[in-house]
Amino acid sequence: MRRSSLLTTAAVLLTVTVRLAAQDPAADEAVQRARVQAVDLERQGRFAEAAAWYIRGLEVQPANTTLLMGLERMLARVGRLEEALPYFERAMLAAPSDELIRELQFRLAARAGGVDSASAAAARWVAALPESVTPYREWSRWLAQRGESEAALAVLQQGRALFGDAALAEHAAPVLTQAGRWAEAAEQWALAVARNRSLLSPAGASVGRAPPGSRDAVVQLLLGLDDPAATWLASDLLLQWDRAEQAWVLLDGALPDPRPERVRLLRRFADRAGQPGTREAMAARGFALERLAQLSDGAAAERARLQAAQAFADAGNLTAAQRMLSQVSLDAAETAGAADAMVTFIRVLAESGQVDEAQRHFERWEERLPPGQLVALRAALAWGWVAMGELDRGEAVIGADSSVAALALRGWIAVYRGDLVTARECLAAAGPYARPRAETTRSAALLVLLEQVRAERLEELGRALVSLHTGDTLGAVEELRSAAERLPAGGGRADVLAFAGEVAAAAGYAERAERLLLDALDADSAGPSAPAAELLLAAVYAEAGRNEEALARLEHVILTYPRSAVVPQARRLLDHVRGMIPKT
Amino acid sequence: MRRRAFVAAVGAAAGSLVSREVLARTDGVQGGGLLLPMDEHQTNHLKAYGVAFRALKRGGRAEWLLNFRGGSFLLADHPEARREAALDGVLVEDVPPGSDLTIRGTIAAHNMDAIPLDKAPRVAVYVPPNVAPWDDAVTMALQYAGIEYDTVWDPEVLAGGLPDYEWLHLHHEDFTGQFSKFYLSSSTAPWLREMVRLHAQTARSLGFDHPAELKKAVARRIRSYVADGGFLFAMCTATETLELALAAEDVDVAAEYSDGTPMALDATARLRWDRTMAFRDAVLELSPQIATFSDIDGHQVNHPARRQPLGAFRLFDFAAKIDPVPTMLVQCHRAVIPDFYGLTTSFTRERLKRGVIVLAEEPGAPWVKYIHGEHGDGTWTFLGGHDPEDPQHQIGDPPTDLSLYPDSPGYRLILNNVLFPAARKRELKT
Repeated sequence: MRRSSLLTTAAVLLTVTVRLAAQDPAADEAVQRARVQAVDLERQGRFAEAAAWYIRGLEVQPANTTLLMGLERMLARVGRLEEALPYFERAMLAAPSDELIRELQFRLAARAGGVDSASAAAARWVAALPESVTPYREWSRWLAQRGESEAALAVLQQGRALFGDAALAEHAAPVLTQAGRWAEAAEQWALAVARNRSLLSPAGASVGRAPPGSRDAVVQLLLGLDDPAATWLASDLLLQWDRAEQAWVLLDGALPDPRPERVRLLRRFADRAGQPGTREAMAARGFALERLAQLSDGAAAERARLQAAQAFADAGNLTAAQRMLSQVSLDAAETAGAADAMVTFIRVLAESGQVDEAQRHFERWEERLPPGQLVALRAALAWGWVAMGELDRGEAVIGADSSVAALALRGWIAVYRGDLVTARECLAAAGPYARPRAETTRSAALLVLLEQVRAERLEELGRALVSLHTGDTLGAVEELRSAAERLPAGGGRADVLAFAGEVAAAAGYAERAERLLLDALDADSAGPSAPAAELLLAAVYAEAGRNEEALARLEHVILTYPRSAVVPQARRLLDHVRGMIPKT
Repeated sequence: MRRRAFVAAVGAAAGSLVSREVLARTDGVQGGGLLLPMDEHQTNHLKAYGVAFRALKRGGRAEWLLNFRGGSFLLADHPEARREAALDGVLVEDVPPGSDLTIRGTIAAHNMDAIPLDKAPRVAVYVPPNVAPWDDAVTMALQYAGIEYDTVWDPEVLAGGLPDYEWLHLHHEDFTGQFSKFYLSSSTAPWLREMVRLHAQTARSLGFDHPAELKKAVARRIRSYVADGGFLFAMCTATETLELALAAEDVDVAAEYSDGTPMALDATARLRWDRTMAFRDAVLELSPQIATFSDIDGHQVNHPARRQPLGAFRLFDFAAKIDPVPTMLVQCHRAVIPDFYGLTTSFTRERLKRGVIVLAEEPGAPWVKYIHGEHGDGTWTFLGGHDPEDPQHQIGDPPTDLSLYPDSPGYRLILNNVLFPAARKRELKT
């Protein structure tokens, strides 16, 4: 009899025996006893003895996968893994089409014998179950885990040739990612997502790690596939790569028809767009939520509109925020999130100059707004009025508020009125504690300036600062010059001129800035404002490409005021002007 | 001066003879001067090299005080040196006449030495003409320190221009002509398309069929430059690929996308290591899709399965009076420096030729970071990695602003190499 016939006969006999054993209660009981004994010994750390009991069980039921796994586990613990191989061979003879046993046998062969054994086991598996895609998956996964990406891809290629491109796409994609072949990985992920929508998240996370140099190619490839799943993936990636606007346009154009899936994608996009916190991302989040609101009704729609309003407000898109709020019945709304959305809305209205509107909403909502936000909102409203030149209304909003923010605000209102004494007192009392940080810095800078000014009242300075606050930079510069002319040479004239020069330079009026800064240096070339004024003058020259003049000024600052706080800045600018460091 | 003679001379003048010489030096800075301390007190280590370099350029006297306060410089007092130091934020200390003897006494009694610096070396950087200084750590360091340099590229090298310079730095060039093996992964990137166009055009204009052959010819010229007494300093992938190009003189080691023919199947076996300076017996990476070249690099940054994590490397402590050359190359205020990736990050120990001096290594690791050796009358020094202050450097990253790292120990190693050729041959005692 030929060898293959012998094996077939043996397999049939074994199968019959196993089936008989499986139907035999006594055999079941023997297997159960062996398993209990083995587990107990395993728990005691007596692995070799446990292995012997697993073997006893396998003698009765050779294809029992629980026993096979136990045996493998025990023999691995005692370093005799290869001894398990014959039992797995028997198991395969007993149940030749059992995929789990094949998988276990492949794993064992790979662990015990390395690449050659694994390859042989995989080849046998393929031959035994030619209709199964699993051996290609497991074989490639094992190779990839060993870092052999190219070999893993070759195995996957064999599988794809038999079962089609999509069959192993989700397994090929991570291997391609591992190999740094980002565009190909993205293509495979897109195929996988098309078959299984739940893979969008792992696909995005995987390809999202592509280095900046590869990203355009990835997006181009995905869009070239002309498949909705590929477009979703491209959108997901663009969102991760800080291109939220483009991401939204892509998603919006590729939303699927089934409503649940559409809602799921929109919700996912909105959630992810809220994470970076950039204005572009918040705007994209707003659009997604607006679309979501259109697909929803009742409380869900209200909630989506409020969230959209908040997102648009955070993005600075007041028109869209108002559009959303106009569709929400705010007076009746006890909807979660309404108060938070309104806080943002009022703040943005006040900051954008629509203070009347902001004040109206504030008064209607004051009792329902979060108490912790009221101080900040009042400050925003007060600043809004001050910016419009309505100092009395601004002061009225803060009323008797004794917070640090209110104190700083009173200092500003005082200086706007030309009352430098009160301004100094309030700003000094507020100290460096007002929030936000930018406001603190601005207040501290004003206090430093006021400390140099030898006057109790100076309406010109107040008017200049109001002009500056309202955005009339040129007017502010001229008024600052007028204010400076009313001051003695050593009593703040140079400081106010230097401040005017700073304002002019920041607004891009280079010639005016140069004149003011030169005048400041003429007024007091050795005073406390001189190093900063000269550094600023150098920056003005550098910006205009007048490098020689810039270099002369910078060298003068560094060599004349070596202990000044501006020297590190001067050195850095010097490096820039000399071309020693890149422009950043 | 032939560098081999220099190396032999300074190396031979060891022991007590040198100690007495240090104390009685007449060729260094006389009667006090300006000390640029290079220990932790220094406020801008990198620019201190520029102050010293420009002092030499003006014809002033200078000494490099090896191992003294982090490898300080002693300059002849000069108003311009003081002014430059003040502008650059470099700490200087007055050394009144007579006080230098105290310093020299310390140097004589410890593992230190005082090396006179002769003249500012003429520096050339091998770099394509369309590359900004911010693309390469050495040009960044030279630019920041205010050290003058010229740029040369293939046409100048093949026209025999290298002997005009004492010091040559190789930009992170791929001398195997495979465009750093980014061709397949970044084929659509504009920077790569421009690189390919420029290299192909240059190769054609110089009479070569493709860049791979041109680069081999350039590599040979560079080797000759070293053999004739030049100082070569290379970083990153220039180290590994220069050697591969030399070993592969008669073998096709370039991928098909580069020269139209695939790499020779038996390329690894046919490499000729008797033609190289630093490495031996390397095994080539055959896949054109993996941006690594061979197993010379220990870290294999672009090979996901073989990529090794970054650690830190330690500089060797050489005997200054016996081994002044390696001592100069490792002067630093830190002995242990965080590692940084490059296309070639490190050098596998097993691939080093006999006689190669290891200047820095990661203790316990199978690779080293910084190596030096002689070839003919000249010397070469290789430092792995791309940018000491951008350890994970990725294509497209913003350039490093060295004003934020004025005390960078990694960049100091680069600048040691620039001043090393300025060291004067010491008179042999009989």
